[in-house]
Amino acid sequence: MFEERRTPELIEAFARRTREVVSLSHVGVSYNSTAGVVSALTEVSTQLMEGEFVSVIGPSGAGKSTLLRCLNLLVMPTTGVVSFKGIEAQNLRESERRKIRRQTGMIFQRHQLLARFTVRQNVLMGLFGRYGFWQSAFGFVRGRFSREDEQAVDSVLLELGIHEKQHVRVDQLSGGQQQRVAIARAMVQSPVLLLADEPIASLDEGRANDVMHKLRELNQKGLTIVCNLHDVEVAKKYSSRVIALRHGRVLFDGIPDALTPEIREMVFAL
Amino acid sequence: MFVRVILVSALLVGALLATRPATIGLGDIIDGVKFLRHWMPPSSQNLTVVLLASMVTLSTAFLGASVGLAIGLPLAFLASSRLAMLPRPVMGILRSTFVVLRSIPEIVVALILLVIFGPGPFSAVLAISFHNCGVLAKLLAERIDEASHGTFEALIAAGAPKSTAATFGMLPEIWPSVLAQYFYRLEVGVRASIALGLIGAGGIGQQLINHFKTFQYREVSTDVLVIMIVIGIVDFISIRMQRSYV
Repeated sequence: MFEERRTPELIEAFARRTREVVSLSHVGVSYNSTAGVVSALTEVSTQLMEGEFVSVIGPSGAGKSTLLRCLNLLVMPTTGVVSFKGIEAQNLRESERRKIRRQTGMIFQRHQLLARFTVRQNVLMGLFGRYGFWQSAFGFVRGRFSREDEQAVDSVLLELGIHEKQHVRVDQLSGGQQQRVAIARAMVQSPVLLLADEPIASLDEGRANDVMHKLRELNQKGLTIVCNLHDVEVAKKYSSRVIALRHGRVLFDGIPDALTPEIREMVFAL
Repeated sequence: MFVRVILVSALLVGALLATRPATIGLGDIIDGVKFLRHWMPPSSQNLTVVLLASMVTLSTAFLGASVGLAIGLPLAFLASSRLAMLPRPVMGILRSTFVVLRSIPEIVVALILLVIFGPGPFSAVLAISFHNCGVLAKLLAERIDEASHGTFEALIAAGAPKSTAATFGMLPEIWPSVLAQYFYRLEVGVRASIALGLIGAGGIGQQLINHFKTFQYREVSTDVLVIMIVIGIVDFISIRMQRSYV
């Protein structure tokens, strides 16, 4: 009976399902503010597949950051469904959502590192999702975690070319190096999905290229990446897919070459 | 604007009238100066006793500030509206508790505790801790709400529990403020401990009132000098400690 139902369409659907990392279905996010109810996202539906490098573009206030925060469940949608590896997140308890966040690395525009701490200490904090409070506190005070975790830290520091800076305070590094530390902190989680919220917005062109090259390298090794960018040319250069948002709605979702000047005009029109 | 100026002026005049001196005249001022002549020179006869008493005062202030911080800091995290670690109604109750802790003067708490524990510095330690707990929890909760939440959010995004994210993502952000508030409360605690000494809580305050009541004014001036030196030392350590954390 099962053999009869295994049509090529079903096999294709199953294959897609197993490659799917996150899917959003009719997702809406609204906030209560002094001006009333503000919609950050409206009817957003999309799927992120393994190994994709997706850039999210759009003007300020388009909902790019909210979209990223929906993907790792930092923001829960007001309407619609977010599924991570086929698991619907809506009805999960906070502890179960944390398990999903552990598999999702996130980097930010302003790095969000602790300036007075060393590179190694900052990277180790990426592992705090695996531990309870006392384990984290004890390991941090002792300056040592498990052998596997220490090796994981060494490995990402080497991969990102900042191993020799591991005992240097973060505030003594350049902006590009700090962003590498932030990437290392996310990578030490061994994530299946890396979310980058405007990772090059505060960097000069050289350092921005350096960070984007590093993200592409990680993507070529199989990591799924979703990256918010304000520069469309950078998005087209590095991504396998572009999603364009305006007023919280998806105006475009496709390969970079299909992003015509007309669509760009629509997305960024004042 | 004009109405506000009038109102503030009226308040100032009212406050001055309410606190005017009972008597004032040139003769009273001359009597005051004559009285101060009895204080000079400071006596060094009981210096060891005075120094030991000052150590008791310093210990009382140190314990009062430390216990206040040890309890007040975790409460500040729980009461922070931006970290939202507790449901809103519970947070509201907690913040109201801070108001109660701050509004009861240390001397009132100490008077009650002296009945329970008897004379000595222990009641002063508890009274100062009680007050500091409310003050530090309120001030640090406000600081947490104002500080950058970037690292806290980054740790939450990495799947860390809120307690871990608050400790490692937020505490380092506010640590300079924690140190500044702690040392300020320590300095305030030294003065509070002296005041509590006047009602029987030991330390240099008790020495001071004993010397004053027995007309040993040269000893009183020694007590005052030692108090000034102790506060100066606390201030010096405070500045050094805060500079070391840059």
